[in-house]
Amino acid sequence: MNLRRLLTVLATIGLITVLVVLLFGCKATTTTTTQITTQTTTTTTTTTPKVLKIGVLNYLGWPPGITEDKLFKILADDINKKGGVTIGNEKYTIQLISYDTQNSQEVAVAAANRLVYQDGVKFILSDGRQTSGCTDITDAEKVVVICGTPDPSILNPKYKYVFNATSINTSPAVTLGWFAKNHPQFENYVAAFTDDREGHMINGIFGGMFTAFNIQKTDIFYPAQQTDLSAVATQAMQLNPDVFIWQGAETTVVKSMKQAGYNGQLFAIDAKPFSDLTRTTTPQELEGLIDGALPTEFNPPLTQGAIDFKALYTAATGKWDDPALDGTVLFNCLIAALQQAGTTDTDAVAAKISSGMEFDTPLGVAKMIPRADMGSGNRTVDLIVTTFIKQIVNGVPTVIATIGPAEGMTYCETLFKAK
Amino acid sequence: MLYGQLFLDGLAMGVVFVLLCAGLVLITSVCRILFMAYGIFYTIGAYTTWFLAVKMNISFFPALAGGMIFSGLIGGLFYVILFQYLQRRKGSFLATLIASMGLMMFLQQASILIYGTQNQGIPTVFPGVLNLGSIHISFDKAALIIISIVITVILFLIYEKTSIGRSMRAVSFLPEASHLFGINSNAVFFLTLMLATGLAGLSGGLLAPVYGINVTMGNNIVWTIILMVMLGGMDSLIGAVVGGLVIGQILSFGQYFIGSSVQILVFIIIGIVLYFRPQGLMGRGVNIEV
Repeated sequence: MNLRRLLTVLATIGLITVLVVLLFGCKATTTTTTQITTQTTTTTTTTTPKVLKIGVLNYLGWPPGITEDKLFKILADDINKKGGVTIGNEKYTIQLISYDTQNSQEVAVAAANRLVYQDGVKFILSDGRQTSGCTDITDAEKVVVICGTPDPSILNPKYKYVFNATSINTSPAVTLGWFAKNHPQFENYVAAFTDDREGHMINGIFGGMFTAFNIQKTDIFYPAQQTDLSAVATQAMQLNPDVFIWQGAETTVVKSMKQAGYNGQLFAIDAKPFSDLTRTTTPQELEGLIDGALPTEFNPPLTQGAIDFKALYTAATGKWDDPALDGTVLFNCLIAALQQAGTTDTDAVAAKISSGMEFDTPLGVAKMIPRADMGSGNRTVDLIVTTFIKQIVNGVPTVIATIGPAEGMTYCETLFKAK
Repeated sequence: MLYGQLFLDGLAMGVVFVLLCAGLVLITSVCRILFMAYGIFYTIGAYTTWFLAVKMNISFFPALAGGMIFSGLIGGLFYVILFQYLQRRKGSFLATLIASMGLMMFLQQASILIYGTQNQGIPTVFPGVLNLGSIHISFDKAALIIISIVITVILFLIYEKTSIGRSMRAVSFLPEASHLFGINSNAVFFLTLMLATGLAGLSGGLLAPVYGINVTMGNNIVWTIILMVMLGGMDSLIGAVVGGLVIGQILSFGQYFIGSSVQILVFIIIGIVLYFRPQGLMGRGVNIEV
């Protein structure tokens, strides 16, 4: 290779390297900033509201992340339109600084670094998918992080400023505990899960719950990308299940079970909106299904918070498409903590969340709870929310039980003690 | 009758993939493109059919045709603006492969923006279950099998009996020399890509009432299709049928006897077949210059 050609090759490699660094440097810290500066003086104070920066770390490459990001923006915009949130004697408008973690630990850590050290945020909302890598950074700087994840690593007692504000650890336990207590006649449970990280994680969570409530369950795993599940249904039918459980809102496996002649009890532990369930399955195929319920899937919604949120979401987006509401709980948890603490000091906010804080959400009343089984002692780091249970009766979802946080805790304690 | 049920399940699984396999074989053998974006046209077809059938309240079969035509037009459009230039270059295989991956990402994000992130579904066209003793099959799956067989036969007739089919075969055999025989290879590539992406869209629309629609459905299925095509032979339509049916049966019986590890079994079997027959069960071996 002559010198000229060598220089050309080196120049090309150098140019590509620079482009890649610029591309990933920008992409790893993609910012979708919502900055609403107050333009009116309708606040009760005569001073311009301060700006409360809230960081957001979400994986935006899948629908739940996109939905959650959208919910945060809607809620923040609503607060800002009303003049901001009152914390102590001050008014604050909310500035969201959002980064896509790209489902990558490295990108999430880089984004956390940027949020903490460059953007100077003191509060972060996170989907928690990569939080375990970021928590050392945020905790060291006393940044309060509200997560929506069942990842147990964030409940590690060494962390003081990170909290789980999703009911994924508790609502399924409440639903299952209630079901087992009220249906002792069922003995043979069969559950179908996808054979991927999510399926195994959910199976792990559910498995512990079933053991705690002394329920024998047979698991069937199937390839996550498999479209036709008739073979899965054939396999399940051979086990003669009294109760059939499946993962996720996709009801293809239920359809396959019904087509295979299944007439037993259908049961779902995680609340699946009726509109999602009936996208690919008829209400008749779901007859008798017992499942957790979301307040917003009923008309009118079951709680005032759900009524208000549904109106807000519909006004903001033009339609109601049954979004997952977990993001609202995270957001409301943080705002409630700030308001109840009366300060933006993160030690005070963390202390407020850690001491059994109660607050309203579209899902109902929520309460922070301790996880002594995870070593958190009396510090409340997890969350329980009012649990509604529905049954499909004559093709219509009907509420058959409402379980408040206090009653729900009795079922959760059975689970936590069993661990 | 357990084995009968498993066989029927496998047949249903395999037949519905045959259309998809046939389209991918066409693109690979005629256009010499490993079209990684193929799965997204399956998604586009499904969503378009849903939009026409559910949102616009059009009858299912016209909506299905609309989904197929729209997918085909998008495929043809991207051939004109992208692939036809890349194909002229030396070593175009890698260039078209990378371009198809980029197209896949682009169309994936466009689909999310246009159709949203919600799962969707189309009401069942043929409700009810056909019971043959202890063997069950839903009417919509039975209809799916019949329609897939009919379309596959039509495709074969086009490929074997029509002038355009002869042109496709000529180009797939000798792409450089075919133009000496008066065949406009660019036009053949364009029509092939349109036909194949239209088939993918048709498959998406056909399967939507049975399996539902989500934004990742194309990505989930494309690897299974590639495996089926590799097994049957990347340049053989008959191989596409054989590959689809064989893997359908493996998935069905394998799921029952060994659970989700059936995926490993599929890879092992394909590996063994390709070791002894690198061109696949029915393939003749496509010469691709990288």
